[in-house]
Amino acid sequence: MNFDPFIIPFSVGATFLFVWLFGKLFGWIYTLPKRDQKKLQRHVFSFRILRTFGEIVRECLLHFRLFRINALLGYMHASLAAGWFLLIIFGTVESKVQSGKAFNMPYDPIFYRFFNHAPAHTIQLQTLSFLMDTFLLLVLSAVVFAWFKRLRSKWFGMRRTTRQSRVDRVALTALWLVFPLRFLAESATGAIYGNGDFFTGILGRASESDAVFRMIEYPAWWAYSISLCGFFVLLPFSRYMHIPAEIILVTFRRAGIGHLRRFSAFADIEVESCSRCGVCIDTCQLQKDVDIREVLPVYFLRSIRERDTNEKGASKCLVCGKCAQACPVRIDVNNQRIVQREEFNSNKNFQPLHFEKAQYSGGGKIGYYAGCMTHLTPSIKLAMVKILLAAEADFVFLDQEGSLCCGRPMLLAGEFNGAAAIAMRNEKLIKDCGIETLITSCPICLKMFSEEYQLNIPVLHHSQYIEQILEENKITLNLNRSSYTYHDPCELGRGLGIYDAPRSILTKAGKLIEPDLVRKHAPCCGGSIGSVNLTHAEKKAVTTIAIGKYVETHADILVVSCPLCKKTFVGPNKIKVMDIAEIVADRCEK
Amino acid sequence: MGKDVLIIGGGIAGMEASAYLSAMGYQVTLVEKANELGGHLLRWERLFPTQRHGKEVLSFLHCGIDGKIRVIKNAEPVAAVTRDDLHIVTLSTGEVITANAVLITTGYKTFDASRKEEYGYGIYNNVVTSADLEEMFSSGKEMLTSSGIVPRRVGFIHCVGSRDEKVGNIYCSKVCCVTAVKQAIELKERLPYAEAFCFYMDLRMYGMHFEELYKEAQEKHGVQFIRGRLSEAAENQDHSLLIKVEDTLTGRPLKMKMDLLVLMVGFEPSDGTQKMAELFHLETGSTRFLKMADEHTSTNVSSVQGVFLAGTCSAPRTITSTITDARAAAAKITSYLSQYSIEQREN
Ligand code: SF4
Ligand code: SF4
Ligand code: SF4
Repeated sequence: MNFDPFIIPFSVGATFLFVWLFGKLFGWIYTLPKRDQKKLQRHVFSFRILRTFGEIVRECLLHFRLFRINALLGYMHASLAAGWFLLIIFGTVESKVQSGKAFNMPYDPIFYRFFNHAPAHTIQLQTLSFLMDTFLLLVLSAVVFAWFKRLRSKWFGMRRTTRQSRVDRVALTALWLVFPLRFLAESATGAIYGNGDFFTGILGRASESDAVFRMIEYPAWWAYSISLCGFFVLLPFSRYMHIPAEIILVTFRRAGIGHLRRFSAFADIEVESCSRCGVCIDTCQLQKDVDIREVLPVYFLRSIRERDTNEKGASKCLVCGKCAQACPVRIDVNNQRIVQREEFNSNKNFQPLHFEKAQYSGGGKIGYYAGCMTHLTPSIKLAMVKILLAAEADFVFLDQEGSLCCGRPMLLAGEFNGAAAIAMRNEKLIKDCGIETLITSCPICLKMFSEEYQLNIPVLHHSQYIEQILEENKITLNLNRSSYTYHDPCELGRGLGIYDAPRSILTKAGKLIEPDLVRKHAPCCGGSIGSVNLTHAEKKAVTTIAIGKYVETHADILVVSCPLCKKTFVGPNKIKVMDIAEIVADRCEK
Repeated sequence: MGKDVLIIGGGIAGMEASAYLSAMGYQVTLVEKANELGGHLLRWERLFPTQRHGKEVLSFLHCGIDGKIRVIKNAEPVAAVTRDDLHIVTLSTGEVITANAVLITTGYKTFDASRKEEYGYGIYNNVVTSADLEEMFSSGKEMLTSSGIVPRRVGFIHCVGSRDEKVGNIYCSKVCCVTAVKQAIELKERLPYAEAFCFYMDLRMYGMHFEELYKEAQEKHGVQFIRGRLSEAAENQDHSLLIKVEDTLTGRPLKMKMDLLVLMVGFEPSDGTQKMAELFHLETGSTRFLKMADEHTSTNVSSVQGVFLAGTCSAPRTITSTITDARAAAAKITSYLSQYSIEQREN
């Protein structure tokens, strides 16, 4: 058995880490609701687990999504993760081949060169030794890139980078030391015994005498072991916890486990999976336009993890989802946010709900639901009535006399019980009308209807309905020379993935000029009901900057498909703002 | 003396300041964008609190425009430069005017009510603004709704486009409360059987006799005052309006039917005012009105030397206060051009 006292730090660190991680994993699984435990069990023992492995390789090792964001960034992460992983795998194989035993000490591969001085004598060992040097070179290149990123983050596609906490910085230092020290230790041993490969042999070949190497060899192996120990011990408390957590997250997600209406094991795993890569930072308008950084997922998730109160981060956020769509780990930040809001709400005393005596009218196959926001922009609802009449639809205006709220504002504020009560009541009112299809002008209502209600009938946004009747030739548009630019509302676009219907209508109505940022990259108008307490001045700053991009297109009209976006954008602007329904109503012919 | 003063904007402030400066011996040029002097006064039938005719005040102002004042109509400044304390201003007619002092009297415009879409202006026919109502009054025609009936219930909505952070105007426009009271009384005088309601946030009856007018409206004419802000208006089949208001005294939401809705639109800096701010590089405050050098002691002084302010280009004002402000500006310009020592007080 190979042994030297310097393996002790490594072994202590590694043991600690394994115990900790298994404890964590056990805790997570233990606190899952029964139903989710079953899901996990079924997933792990099915063929679907292979796809999960696939995703783990793609995302946790090769970092495909990061490559898509920026090639340098992708390379940096992938070469470190995959390089290290390969070092472990091939190191294990190498040590087993060399010793000829299936079982050897777990630290053998880590300190292989120290214990095995004989040069590789078989073709297998030569190949392995060559590969090991290649992987080490790969990992070291990642460290060089990481250094370089500190100096030139723009090259990595990032304007701003994460401000690291103290423990992160210490862990980072330990990590950055591991591989140069390994290189040094292996090179020293290589120089003395002449067994270094093309890379670890460089130093030996470059110098005549091995006196210096004899002096540094032993301390270098110690330092290597200590830095590994430092990294392992700090891992659970630093951003590097994302390495194991992300693997678990991918598995849980693929098993169909998601957020609950409270801080759950799943939420905790997401929080631990944030690598603090900082990709989300540049996407956030609150950060860019009004310099509010507490909301940024990278810091917001960190404050959850460290149990810091970050009420500003929880409440100011627009819940626009721009950061979430950029996150390479696919963390569901919006749900994290509202769950945290619930935590802040629980010690506040909300007034009991005041239900208006809403009454909906039935008597048609299609029900048109304007929603409270659309009642504040009456030209949209009038336009929709005109369109429905022109299409000779058998329709009824459900909430003509005023609507009960859909419940989404309360849901977004983390008031889950209140939201559920409203939703239940509203759902019943709608069901009692006996309609077969529901159309709404409000993406906020639409999101709520499709995700929280059990209406069991098709629910459409008015843009989808209009697209449909245009295709069926129930109405036609007379084309004119107007040019349009289109704003993707957060709830309709990122929230529900409806991007094409409005565009297909607009290309039929005139010329569509797209701004720089479209679809999932489109800005938030700034008026989002998602923010609990953003001030008017802050909202206005966001709105002004957002609308500026549309003005730059020189289109005649800025088209939106959300009453709230319309209300937010209308003002003393250089561009006219209209809802897509108004555009269609103006040009529609039977 | 032979010094030249250029006055931009021939409304109330511009006319009154011209009269004073000319009387004091300065060579005054008054530039007006429209083809008639008088500004908003041309459109106000009667004035609060006296119910006096707007025309009377206008003819008083006209008396001040003597033969010595050079009035240029249908023109506006398009460029301005300053050289050695002289302001060289190019007009849209191509003429170049050199002046020792410039007075900005470009005034206000009323808030574009269609920006509060939930109130339905420009969408529903029976929603009008206070300015529209004034025109209906002065046209002398019979008051009818769009469906041709005599309105029986008329709602006056206060603070439309004022005291409203959402539209970006946080200030009070000062005149609309009392204008609503005045217009409600006039309505009742014309249509005694109609009911009139004022929906207000709080009533600002700050001027002399305003409170009396308010009492008269309640006691003599039975105008009803409801504290609450309109949340939305919808149109009924018969083109009457269904309005939703929260009564903030009882804390209950109200739904009411109205035949006519009058929106008391507030003040915003006029397009001319905004343009002059650009042309002369004048600072504007957070409200976008032109900034006074000091809110107490230098209300007529702008942020640029030799350029002065009068009237509603710097803040919402009543007609009375606009006239006083114009005279104060005339005095200020005189002290500046004569280099009175009072100018030194600030240093
Ligand atoms: S939330 Fe996502 S994008 Fe933001 S730092 Fe964490 S992992 Fe990166
Ligand atoms: S949801 Fe929007 S506002 Fe909130 S942190 Fe993400 S990008 Fe910023
Ligand atoms: S004067 Fe009255 S109506 Fe006008 S803005 Fe002030 S409070 Fe509102």
